[in-house]
Amino acid sequence: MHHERLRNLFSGYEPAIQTIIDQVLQLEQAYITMDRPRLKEQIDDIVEDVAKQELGITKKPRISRA
Amino acid sequence: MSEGSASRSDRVIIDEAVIDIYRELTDGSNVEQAPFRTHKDVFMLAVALGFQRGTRRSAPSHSKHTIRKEVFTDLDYHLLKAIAIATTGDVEVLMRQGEVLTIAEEFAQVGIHEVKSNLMEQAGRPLWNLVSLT
Amino acid sequence: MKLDRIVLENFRQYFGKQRLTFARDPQRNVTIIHGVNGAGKTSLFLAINWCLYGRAVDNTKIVENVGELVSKELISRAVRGDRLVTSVELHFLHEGERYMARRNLRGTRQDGASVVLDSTDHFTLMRTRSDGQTETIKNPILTINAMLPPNVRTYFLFDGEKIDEFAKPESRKDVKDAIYLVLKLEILERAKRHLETNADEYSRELRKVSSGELAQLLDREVKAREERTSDEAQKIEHMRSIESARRKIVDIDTTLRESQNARELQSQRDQIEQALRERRGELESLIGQIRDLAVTSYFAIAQPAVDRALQILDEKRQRGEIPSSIRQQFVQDLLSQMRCICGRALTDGSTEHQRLLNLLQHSLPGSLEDDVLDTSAKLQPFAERVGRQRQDIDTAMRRRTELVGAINQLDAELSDIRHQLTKSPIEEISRLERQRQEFAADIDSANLKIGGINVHLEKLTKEINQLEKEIARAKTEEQRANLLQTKVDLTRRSANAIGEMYERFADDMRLKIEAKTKEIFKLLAWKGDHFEDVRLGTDYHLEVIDRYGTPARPDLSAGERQVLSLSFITAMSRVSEEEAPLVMDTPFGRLSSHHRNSITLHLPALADQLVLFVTDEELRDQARSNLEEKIGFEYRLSFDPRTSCTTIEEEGV
Repeated sequence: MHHERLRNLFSGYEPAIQTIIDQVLQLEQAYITMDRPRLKEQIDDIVEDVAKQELGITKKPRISRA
Repeated sequence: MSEGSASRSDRVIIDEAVIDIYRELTDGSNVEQAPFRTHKDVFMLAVALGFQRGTRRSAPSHSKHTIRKEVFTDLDYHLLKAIAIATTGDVEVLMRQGEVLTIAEEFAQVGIHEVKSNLMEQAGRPLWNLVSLT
Repeated sequence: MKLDRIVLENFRQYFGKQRLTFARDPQRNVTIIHGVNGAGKTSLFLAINWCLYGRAVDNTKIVENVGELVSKELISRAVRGDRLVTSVELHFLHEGERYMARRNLRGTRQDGASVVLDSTDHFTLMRTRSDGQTETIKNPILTINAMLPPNVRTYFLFDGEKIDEFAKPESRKDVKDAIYLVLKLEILERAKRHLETNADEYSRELRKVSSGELAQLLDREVKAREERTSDEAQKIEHMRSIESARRKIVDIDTTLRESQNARELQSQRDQIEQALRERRGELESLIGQIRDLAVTSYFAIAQPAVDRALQILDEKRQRGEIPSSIRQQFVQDLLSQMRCICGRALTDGSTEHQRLLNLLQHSLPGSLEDDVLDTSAKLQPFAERVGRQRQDIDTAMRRRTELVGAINQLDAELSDIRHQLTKSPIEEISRLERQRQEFAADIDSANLKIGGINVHLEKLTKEINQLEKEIARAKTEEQRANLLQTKVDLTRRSANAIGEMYERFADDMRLKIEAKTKEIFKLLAWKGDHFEDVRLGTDYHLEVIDRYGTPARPDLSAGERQVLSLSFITAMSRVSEEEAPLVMDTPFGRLSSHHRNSITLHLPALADQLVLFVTDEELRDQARSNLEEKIGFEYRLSFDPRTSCTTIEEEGV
């Protein structure tokens, strides 16, 4: 439910922003029970992917840092 | 005396601090000013002068500038072997190729300064200073 | 989450294994558990919490003293050394799948009715797949937390004592926290914060990347190339002027040659210049030869090393340390055939065998020996070669001296001729000669300039090569900067979007909850209550407005407050669409009968599953009959004061 509702909330924004927000929210949900999770790198992965797509740079195979 | 210098058996290291000497003696078309064709030739002279002086010093273990073993002629290499045998007094140094090159490197490390003072810091052009060495 | 059944084993006053099944049917979704105070209601309630979340979660203690979870009856019946187990097993459904959560606590019985517990309890979560097989969930804690987050559990598994919490005056924060947590606004806040942190970091990195460097480098490259082009053009100019001067000199020479008075001198000059050209050519090639010879003079300088090395090699040979290769091979062959030199067979371990082995061992290894012989042979001719080279250089240097002398001589003669022609009594000749010298001087100065330009060109070429490398590097940097810039942009805009939408979302939710709370409150409250509206303001103040339009809260009865809180909780559950059982511990204890009746009438419809722990006094008469149709299971907690144990007894419905 929530996910749908949250996603719809941002439907007025451009796709790149929606993608980032969607993935970051999922990430935050997964770590919600931690007081201060360190998500800097994972968020960076998300942003970098989207940024590269925006710039038309071909993606290199991604090594998960999790 | 040197110990623990990186013994490579495929190349010699030229200290970045003296690479300019090599360049000045090889760059350009003026034969009297820059008589040497290759860095290898400069190196061999440095080794010879270092040996003549009788002092050696270890070279840095890393440098952008190296001379691969293939660049040396057979005669060059035999000379380096002779220098290695004469220096260590021991024939078995021939089994350790790395050591032949290392000893050469170490003589060159000292000899290159002799090259500079004999060829570039005297009156007259380097080619003529070189001739007067022998 | 929908509860299915619970199995307690040696948990507090529940000795042995005891079971309880929860009503799940949509028509009959109420489970009633009777018990007097102290009978074990609180323990059962605690069992559910402990099973799911353990002794503490998010800095909140669920259990004060884990030791007291172990059944005292179990301890007293055990002897020292016995291993004791306390566990709670909870079967439930979530989003259609069947799960079983189980938490074990083990310990060892000591003397004096005490137990030493193992350091941690043991939690497992299993799921039944569609094919009937069970599988163990790898991250049980994360999974449970995702189903029913511990920080919101108090809103669904809640203690009846706390029922009026949300309607208290000081409860604004609690109300806000409740909405916040249940509706996951925290997620939005964190997302925004984290995105902003990342954006700041990208900004910082971006500032470090040198901007404008590429433009500068390209600028310099263009300039260098332009200079080079201009230099080359100048060079061509000079060469043309040299050409033109030469032609003029040729003309003058021709004229002088044809002139009677100058003919002879000119013809001499022609010859001398020819000779000079030849000599100079020869000198140039000689210098080349000298260079080739000098460059290998290191052999001569290092010859003493060769001499010394040969000496050492000879000494070794004389001491028999370098046997001939033939001898070496011979010895090897002998040994392999096990024959003595004289032809007799060798026996292993015999003195002959030993002697041959010694011979072999004291020689040098085969490969070194080859190298030594080879080196020795190659070094022998060095001395002679060096000698020859020395002679060649000497010869060349002498020839050089001769040539330089000859050139100087010829130059002097030329000079003399020039002088004579300049001094010629014939005006024309003198003039022509002087012109000629001017042209010659022009050529010289042009050549000098060309020389200077060449040096400059060499420098420029080096510079251009260097710049090309740096430009390639700067281009990569620039790409990186672009990427960073895009990241900053996207991240900040995302954070801003969340910021913009957050308020809207929060407010949207607030209004929904307000509406729902009002709806439920109207349903649950007694018609006689004199209120008009329920409000949940932007300050998260939950209050009831009376018919005069003023907040009625100070005048709310305890019962009304409780009903308001209950309405709020159920409203949240509906709005958030979380599927969760409403488990209430003595919810009606302090309510008036009319509130009790109202709640029992409507509550089952407001929750997916309702589990009520009640005392007999709580659930009587109308309240009872209101729930009757919805009751799926009913139990009594039967406490035996002699053993201090409780037994779960099912009552017929």
